[in-house]
Amino acid sequence: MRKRTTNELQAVYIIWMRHMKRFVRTKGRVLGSVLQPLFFLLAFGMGVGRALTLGGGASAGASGGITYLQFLLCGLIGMSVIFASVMAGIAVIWDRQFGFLKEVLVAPVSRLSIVLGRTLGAVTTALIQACVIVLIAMMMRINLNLPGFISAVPFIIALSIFATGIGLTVSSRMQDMESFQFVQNIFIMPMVFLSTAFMPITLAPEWLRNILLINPVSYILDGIRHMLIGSGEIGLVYDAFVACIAATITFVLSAISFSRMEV
Amino acid sequence: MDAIIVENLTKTYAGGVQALKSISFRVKKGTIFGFLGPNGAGKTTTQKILCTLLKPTSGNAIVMGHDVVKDPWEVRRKIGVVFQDPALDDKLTGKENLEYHARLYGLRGDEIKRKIKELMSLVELEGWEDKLVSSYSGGMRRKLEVARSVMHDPELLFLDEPTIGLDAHTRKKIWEHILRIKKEKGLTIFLTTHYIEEAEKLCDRVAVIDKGRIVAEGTPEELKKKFGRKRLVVVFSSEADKKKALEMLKREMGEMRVIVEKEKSVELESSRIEEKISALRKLFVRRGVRLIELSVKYPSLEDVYLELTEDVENGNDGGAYIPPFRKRRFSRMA
Repeated sequence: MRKRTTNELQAVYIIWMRHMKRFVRTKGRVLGSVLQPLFFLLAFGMGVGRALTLGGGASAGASGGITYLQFLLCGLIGMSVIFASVMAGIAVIWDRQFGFLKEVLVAPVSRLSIVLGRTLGAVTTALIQACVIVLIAMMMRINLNLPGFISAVPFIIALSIFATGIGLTVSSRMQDMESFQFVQNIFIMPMVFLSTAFMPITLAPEWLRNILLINPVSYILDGIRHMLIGSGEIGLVYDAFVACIAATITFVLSAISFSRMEV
Repeated sequence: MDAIIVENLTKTYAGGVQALKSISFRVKKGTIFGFLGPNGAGKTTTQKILCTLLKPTSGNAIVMGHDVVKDPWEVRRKIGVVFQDPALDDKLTGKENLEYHARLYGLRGDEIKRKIKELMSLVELEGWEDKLVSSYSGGMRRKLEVARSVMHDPELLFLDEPTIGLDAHTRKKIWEHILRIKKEKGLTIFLTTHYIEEAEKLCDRVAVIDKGRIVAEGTPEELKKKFGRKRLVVVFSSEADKKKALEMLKREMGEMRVIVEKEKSVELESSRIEEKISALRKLFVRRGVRLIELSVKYPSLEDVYLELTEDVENGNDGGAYIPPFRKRRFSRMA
């Protein structure tokens, strides 16, 4: 039994390691994942958002309010974490198409370890991307509460687990990349754009506000904002609660779909 | 002792397609067992069940003493698999692919290093350890996969079309490697293949599967004896001699059937063919038909195979099960 446990841990490690190696070796993707939020930051943040100053909560910064640029930056961290994590989950479809998936499934390793290794890989890359974006923000002199980044990490991890779980669940049921495009457009994109990534709840019209508030991403992003810019619109306790629940649900879901998967 | 025991195994896919209709067979330890059959006959389904990738609908499969459904973990530790489609990560190096495999199977640091060195030299891939697999040729990838499949010292090796798409030299080389490994480690091999000559040469026993049923099983010799018909090959010195002989045969040896007719030669089939050789020879001499050669041709396993299985690709609906997603891909190409 003990041998089996160490075997499973080794498997988790090597699956994580493979993810990291592939991440480092596909430079285009790394660059793209950093450039995309940067463009958003320049277009929306610098252009449209410069004039906007948000009301901010009680804990607003010294200037009395939060700039839209600060608000947007947190949303963009969330967006890039979601995209990177979903993609990491979706990579299973590639593995299936290239035949590599069978190599893993026929090994004496539980499906849970496979899911765990992949999720850890996704979390690691998502964290790296978040750090890079924060670094860029610092160079752009966007006012951030840097020690707060450390306390935002749990939220970023939860968001990454949540999105990876979605990617893995989808990919365990899908056979080709075309069907994934569909999921991306009708599910992932709305999940990002109908969250508080780009739009504060207080500025949203009534009908939209309800949508924002049933989207778990809104809560996790709010948690990140509490930590990183010291201002959120929902209570931190709610944020933490929703983050935990959302991450757990999709992780369990992906583990179940993986254990049922036949090749 | 048997490496594989299959009893009344059936598999019905969602949608009602019966891929396996109660098949049974045994594979003895230390032997090479060939599993032959046309596309869609149920070969891959059987292999996937034995590898624990697919659950059977009913029946039992015991692999190396463990039930594939009740104890898949033990089965997986004892088997190695070379899949039909390449299953390598080409963004990793050869060494990294092997290490990945080794870790999944619980091997440790020093052991991994030693095995990589040993196996890379066994399949003659020294010097390629640190190159990305994307730079490997088709034959090299196969060699790497063969090396990988035995890294964790399996007792039973599944080879699914291990030499498909490779040139004759590479095929020969791959088989040399496989046989050397088999000899060194005392492996049992379960081989699925389309290359019937390969199976005839290499396998101790073969089973022929068609439309989800096993239609024949035995040593290649047994199958040839049981199902194959010998032919008489007659080569004449001219076309005129051939014509003359054929007319004669029609009149005097009615039960002989002409199977193949070429410019100066014919292949004949008949019952108890060997007893008729001398009579035929005498007949030809008497009537002045000049011969170059008169000999008995023994059936190859391929002849037997063609006899036993139906031609699925040409009009016959066979039992070919195409999974829904494959079907979609095909129709898109069409």
